[in-house]
Amino acid sequence: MSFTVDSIKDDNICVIWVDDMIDVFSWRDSFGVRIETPNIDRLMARGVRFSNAYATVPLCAPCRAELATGLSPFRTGLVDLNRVWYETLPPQKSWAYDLRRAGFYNFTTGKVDAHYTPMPPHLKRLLFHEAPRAREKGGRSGVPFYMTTDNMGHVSDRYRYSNRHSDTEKSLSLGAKILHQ
Amino acid sequence: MTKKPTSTTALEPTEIAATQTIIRADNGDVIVADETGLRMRLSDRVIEDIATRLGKLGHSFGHMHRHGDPQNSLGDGDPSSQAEELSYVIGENIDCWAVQQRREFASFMANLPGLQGVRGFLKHLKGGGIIADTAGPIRMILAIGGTRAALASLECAHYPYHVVTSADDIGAVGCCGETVAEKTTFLEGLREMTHEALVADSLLYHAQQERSRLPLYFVRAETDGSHSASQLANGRAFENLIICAKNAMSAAKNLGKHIALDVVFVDFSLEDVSDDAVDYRNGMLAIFDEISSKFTEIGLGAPRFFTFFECGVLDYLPSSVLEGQWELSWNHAQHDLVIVAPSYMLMHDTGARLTPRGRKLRAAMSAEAIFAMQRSRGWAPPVLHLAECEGLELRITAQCEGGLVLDQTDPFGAGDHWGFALEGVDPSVSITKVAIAKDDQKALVLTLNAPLTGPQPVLCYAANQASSNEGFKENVGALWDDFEPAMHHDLSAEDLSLLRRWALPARLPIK
Repeated sequence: MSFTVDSIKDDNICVIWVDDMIDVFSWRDSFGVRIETPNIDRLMARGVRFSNAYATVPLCAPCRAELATGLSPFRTGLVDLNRVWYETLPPQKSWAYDLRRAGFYNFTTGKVDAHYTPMPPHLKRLLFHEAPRAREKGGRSGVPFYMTTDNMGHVSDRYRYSNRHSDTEKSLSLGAKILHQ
Repeated sequence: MTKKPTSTTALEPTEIAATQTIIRADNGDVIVADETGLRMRLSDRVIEDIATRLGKLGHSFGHMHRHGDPQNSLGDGDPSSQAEELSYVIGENIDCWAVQQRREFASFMANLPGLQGVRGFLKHLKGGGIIADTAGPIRMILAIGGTRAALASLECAHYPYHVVTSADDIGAVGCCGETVAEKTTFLEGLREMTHEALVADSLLYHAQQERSRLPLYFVRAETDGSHSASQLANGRAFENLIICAKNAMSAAKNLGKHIALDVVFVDFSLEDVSDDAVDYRNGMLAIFDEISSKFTEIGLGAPRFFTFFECGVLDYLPSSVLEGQWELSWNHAQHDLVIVAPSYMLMHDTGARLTPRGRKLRAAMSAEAIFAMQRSRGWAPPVLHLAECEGLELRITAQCEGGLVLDQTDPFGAGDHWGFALEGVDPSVSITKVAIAKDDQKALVLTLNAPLTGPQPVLCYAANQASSNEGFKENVGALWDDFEPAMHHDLSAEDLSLLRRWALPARLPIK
């Protein structure tokens, strides 16, 4: 599934990073109440659904590392919960860098890695054109208020973002704002 | 011949890498899995402890059997006649004292030429030259590369008995791919000063100024006429490098020491004629793979690799080599690769070969990098990563250890734009100003005179710039990060002022 700036001209790439999400497509009706995901359903209807995908390491940080870089945990050694990918690998190993070098306008917000702290500046400056200001609120104990931005929701972040660079292909990396809830 | 894939070669989906790292520390792999099982690398201290518990003597600090040992080849005769006999082994005309036999060596005190002063020396009873009697392991600095890496200066070392190589009558320049290196367990001093020898000399000079321990350095460069990096990975130079490493290990064993491998320089760039950046990069990774694999097999462990970024000359800098080097600066698989500096800071002749002055300067930079890495400080010259244009402003985002500095003295003659130039743009578009970004010390803002237009706009740094200063190559720049030399160097004031961590060349598509 390859693409270039030209082949997806006028389209955008949107990656949504989720905490604690079960496979709602298989288990939608298993808990006595139907889980409704109308927006994700709409995205799926227009895209590719990977219905037979497996996690190489079924843990949060290694999965996020693999998704962010495309590198197998058994090649990078990132197989545990103690390290986040950018502590071991250079930021250039992520596809966000490739997209930016290819001319995409990159945006991120929320928890897209496995840390309970905002994204380090050295990473942000090389990978993303825009990242709304985030502030830490008490580490893991402050999870309900974790990494709040001036605007709590993605909608307001994205609204501000989409009004800029309207003629450029965009990559949006949207992470959870209210974690493990 | 089908080769087992290594951890950096491209794998088919069903293949498993021959070696996989399970745990890695700053100084290399700790636990590695290969096809036979797990391999663990223990620290010198643990090996010492195991050796002691098994009833064997530890040897990290140069323990050797003393006079009266069963291995004392001269027996326990009259001490004065034995000293007389040993002095003939050392050399009749050397003023030495405290002569005694230690294992297979004559040990003595003397005031020999060099900056090392009055101290102890050793001479093997059966061959080799006089070497310094030092504490600690033998430190090893090796190099592999094309023929330019075998160049040396006919100058005297400051520490002629502390910087040694295999006693095979070749010297530190190696066999140049002409012959297979000789296997020997003896060591001798150098006839010529290669880059690696100058690095050792520089580290020793600094250690002496600091009144630190002066270790024994083993240096050697092995080169051949390979015309691609992948060929170098399997050529005569590689074969000879392994023989040299084994020679050093045998010599260390004779001395009751072990080897501490500081670094392997890989000096191969303009020699590559593959004309493809990916081939060049993969070839370099293959060299790292082969050396790491073989060195691990013989017990040295995967080494740290050093290279210089070759900037070529204006008429000859293949874009494949430039782009391949640029990518290697941040994408070098699992290998510990350090790009020391760009070659535009060094003095070259018209054939892109280092002059003696350039070689000395390069050695000083290499020594600075080794010094920094040994103290767990990072070493990374500025790498330019992104060139993004908005209106009349072209923003360059770099990665570096410290804030960027545009050198106002412009020592290499890079011109008004500090080595920045545009390619693939309409002739009417030009750079009018270069400045460090106000909001980010690791970014630059270039101001243009008109909106960017052109078929394929590319920003060049030190890649399309003639030098106006004689002695330096073309493709120069004037950008560095705020690094200051940390070592003492025996350099002129003019050369000391060039010891900066200059930014690496780049050709970036403008977005």
